Amino acid sequence: MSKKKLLSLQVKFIGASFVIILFFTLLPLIYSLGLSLYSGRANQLEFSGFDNYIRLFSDETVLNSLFNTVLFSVVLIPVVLILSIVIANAVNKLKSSSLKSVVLMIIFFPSITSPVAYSFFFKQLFSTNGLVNISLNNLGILNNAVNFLLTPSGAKIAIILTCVWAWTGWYSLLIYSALQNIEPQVIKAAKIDGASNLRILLKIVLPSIKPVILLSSVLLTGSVIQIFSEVMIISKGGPQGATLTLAYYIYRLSFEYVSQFGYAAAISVIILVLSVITCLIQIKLGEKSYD
Amino acid sequence: MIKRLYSKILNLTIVAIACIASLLPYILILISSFNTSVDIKKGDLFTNASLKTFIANFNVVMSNSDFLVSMGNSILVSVVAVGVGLLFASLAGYAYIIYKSKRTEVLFYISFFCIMIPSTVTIIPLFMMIQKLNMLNSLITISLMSLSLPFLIYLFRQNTKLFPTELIKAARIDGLGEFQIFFKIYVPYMKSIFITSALILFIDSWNSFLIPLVVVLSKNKSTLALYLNNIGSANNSDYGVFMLAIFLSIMPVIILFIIAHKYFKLDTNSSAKL
Repeated sequence: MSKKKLLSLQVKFIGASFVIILFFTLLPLIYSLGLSLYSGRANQLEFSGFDNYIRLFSDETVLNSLFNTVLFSVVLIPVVLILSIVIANAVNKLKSSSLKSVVLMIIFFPSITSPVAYSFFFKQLFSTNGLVNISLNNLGILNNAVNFLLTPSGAKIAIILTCVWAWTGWYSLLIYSALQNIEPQVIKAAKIDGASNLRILLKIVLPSIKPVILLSSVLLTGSVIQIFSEVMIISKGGPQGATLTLAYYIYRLSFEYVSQFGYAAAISVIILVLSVITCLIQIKLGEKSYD
Repeated sequence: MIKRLYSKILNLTIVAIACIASLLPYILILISSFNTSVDIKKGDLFTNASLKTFIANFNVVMSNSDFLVSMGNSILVSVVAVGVGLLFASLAGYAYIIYKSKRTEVLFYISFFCIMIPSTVTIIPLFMMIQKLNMLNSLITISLMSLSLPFLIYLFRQNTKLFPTELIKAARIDGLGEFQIFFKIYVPYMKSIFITSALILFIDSWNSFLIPLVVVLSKNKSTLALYLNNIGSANNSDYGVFMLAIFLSIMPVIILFIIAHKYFKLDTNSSAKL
């Protein structure tokens, strides 16, 4: 193929997609970096250097959102991972392959369902007259109806449970596919040697899926940083900022109050840095695990 | 023997609980739609549930023009996203391997880097850009903004590596043009990747919330996610009708997934390798 023809083919095949990426991702990214150096309200933006970044580190709302992100990560990552390992392991032991595929399909449903739709369901579930309240009252654990979403810890728990429901299926599938790479003979041999199921899990299964577990925890961190719909619909970030996340704070700064696009952009740069770091760790872990 | 039985029962219990927990919200949403708003707000989903109420709720939803318009818009946004996304991602993923050169490698790494950029980072500048270009309040804008092109290009590029180049050489000898080779040989060969990508594109655009929230200004351009948000945030909404609307908005994606899931392949093992 001549050089000229190759170039023309490259332009025809790659051109359109690259223009879309350029316009919808790269330019906004650069714009965002620039915007973060301007401050002011609505359209009256003025260059202010690194003022936004200085303001950011003394802004209690930002620090609070970061704290919430850390707290959500600390709770969500182990809970989702342990549940996923338990579920993936149980599915893997099923004998019938058609049952396996049905179960895998069902547990994947939450990850393809609109966050807006399930968030409204969970909001109703945790409300004063929701099923959670009624069940707890019937069981005698509570004596009166509580609006969980109006207490800081209740709202946090509601968001966490919603995310556990929405995310666990996806990670179960990820870990399930990693389990397929373990040689069945190894486990058979261990069983013949009289190893218990728990021992097989701890000594053979977990070590061989360690890379995927690490990968999952990085992916989960990325998801926690970006929690938006759940918070906006279930708790509006409240009460008293107990469930505020950076993503929702950016939205509020830009579209709910008198917009402060520059400051919001500076916060989005923080999200960018956090998510690039988690992605780089993910790539490093990926290289380690599959080479 | 008994120990084995125990472990089998334990396993089945775990699987059963996982399935029930996954399905329970859908079931409860459906049961809620058999109730009147009063019963749902009382928290009583079972005593007064009736088919009559369900049909009444169904008629209310189906005669609600806002719901129907949003449903139509969501379908349009998703279909355009699938069409445009599939075409451009597959063309690029193919070319990054078949017409590989130093130039294209650089472009690919730039596009790969974009996978790491979350939409929360680009949404504000994008909003300002499309505002200046008068592209706000347009369904096409929502489609284009919902495309996860960098990831899909990566997915196609990875799978093109496994595509036998002899097929291309043979086709060139037979006198087929480059685009003919792509559409007549590559597309059928990569069927499952195309279906997987189509599902990803459809699900992403159907479920996207932040993008239409920022882009849409008028009711006639609302998508289902926005419609649900508007109804759910209002104080005087009929919850029976609302739950049915939620159920109807979830189902298209679930049904598509059930139909196409046997082709759905996300090769997680190659997910981090370039």
